[in-house]
Amino acid sequence: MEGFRIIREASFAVMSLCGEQKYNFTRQYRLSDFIFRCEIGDSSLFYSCLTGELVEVTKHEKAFQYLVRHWFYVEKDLNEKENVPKLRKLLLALDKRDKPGYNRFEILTTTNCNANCSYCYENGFKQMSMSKDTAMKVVQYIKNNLCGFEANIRWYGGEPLMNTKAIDWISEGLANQGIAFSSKMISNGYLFSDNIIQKATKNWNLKNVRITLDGAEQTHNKIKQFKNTSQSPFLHIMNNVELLLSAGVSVTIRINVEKHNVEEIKEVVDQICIRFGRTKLLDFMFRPLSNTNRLSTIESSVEARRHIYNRINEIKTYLFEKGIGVNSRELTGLTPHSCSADDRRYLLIKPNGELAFCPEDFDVKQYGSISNGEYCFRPSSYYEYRYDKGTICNDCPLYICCYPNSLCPASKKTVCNEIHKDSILKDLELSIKKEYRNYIIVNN
Amino acid sequence: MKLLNIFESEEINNEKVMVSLDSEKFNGLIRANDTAGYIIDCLKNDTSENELIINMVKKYGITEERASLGVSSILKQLRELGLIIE
Repeated sequence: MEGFRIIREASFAVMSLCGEQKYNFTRQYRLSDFIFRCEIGDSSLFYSCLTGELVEVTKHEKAFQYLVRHWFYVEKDLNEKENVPKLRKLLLALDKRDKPGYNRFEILTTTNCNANCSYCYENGFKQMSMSKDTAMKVVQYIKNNLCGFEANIRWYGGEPLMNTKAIDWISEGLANQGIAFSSKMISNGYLFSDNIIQKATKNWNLKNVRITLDGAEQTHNKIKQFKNTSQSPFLHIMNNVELLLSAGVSVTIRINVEKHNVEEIKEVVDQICIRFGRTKLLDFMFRPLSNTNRLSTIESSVEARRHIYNRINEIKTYLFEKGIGVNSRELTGLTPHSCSADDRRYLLIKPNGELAFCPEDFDVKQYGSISNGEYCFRPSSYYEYRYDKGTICNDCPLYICCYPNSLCPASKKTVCNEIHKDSILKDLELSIKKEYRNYIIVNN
Repeated sequence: MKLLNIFESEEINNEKVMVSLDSEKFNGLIRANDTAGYIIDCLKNDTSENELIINMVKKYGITEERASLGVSSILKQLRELGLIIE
């Protein structure tokens, strides 16, 4: 393979559906609409948003035939966008052939929380905690409906640590039934302690905790409004991050960014990096609260949003260059689902045992209960997508992967705009460079 | 004879791509060119080998002999895969 090398293989499913494109030297070719290209030193990285394949090209003319065969270049007159809904339909058909079952369970141990964030989308949701009886039924339900070898559980809430008993009951129940599982958690990080972390690593098989910060110490404490606290919650949480890392549990620091805290984000990041150093166990993610793709009550002006996105991208690049983990886009190519809600392997279990598919609207929608023990099929409307792409999407390589679910209240609320598009494309570039760097570390 | 009704199919880049929805009966997918795709389309309804040959002659303006070779080759492959109900 002189002139190029494959950094990431193409998706087997997508290549099976598309086949290899036949190269014909009499035809004219153009770069596919779904390719993102970026330069690295003397070579170019070609990423296909269709197949998920990443190729480093050093001699273009030598790589050309391969690039044609793998859909990086297509015949000049091919209407690629016409194929998108067809390919998705077939990918879904492939996915549906397997026995119905789940491998990702989002378990809400409680909807109670020890913080009181004004922006939380769960504000006003019904308050409830999981009982022992429900936890035992959850174990049985997982046993009956697990597909694959391991259940991947994410503990969520409210604040999941407000009901550690439910986590104990479920973990113990799964272990007693011989069901392999590992878990993650979304938490505000305040309620961890030595004892809980010991239990979490030993019994809960906890591998990762995502902890949300709302800014530097003062801002965070002000926004979180923790109940019954003595010392600074921010410092207490940082101590807990240290305990988690020492126990081998990875931590993702999610920082919510808005105009009130955007200028202090770099300071928070530096503070954390200095304290914990460069470790594989720590990474960052950033979310603007007025992100167009989330249910958000926060409004900000176009200029403010642009500034927020730009700062986030600067900080991500800064972290990437320092070799510190930063959460970015997955390089999957075309997949049969667009989010958890339409992923047939994902299920959300509420504290009362009701089932739902989306963590952001579980209070208003449920589709079944663990009580009947059976796999809960999504209504066919979950697989109807909005293809009302505007002109902004015409030259976007991510067109193929971007198909908002027509039922999703967040995606209905707004459409993509230049600011958001710039941001996700920068995110894509970062993911590509990260993938390339990891390849080089392993292979050189 | 008839093709088993277990496929989701689409035309992609001038090929008929068919994904089996019943992995117990057939675990895979079929990609067929234009002519094979046409024969498969005809097999969605109950038909005979003779009817298929006549349809091919009409559609593509080829000789009966050539159509017969094409039809029997496709039928052989589909039968080997257990996809034809006689």
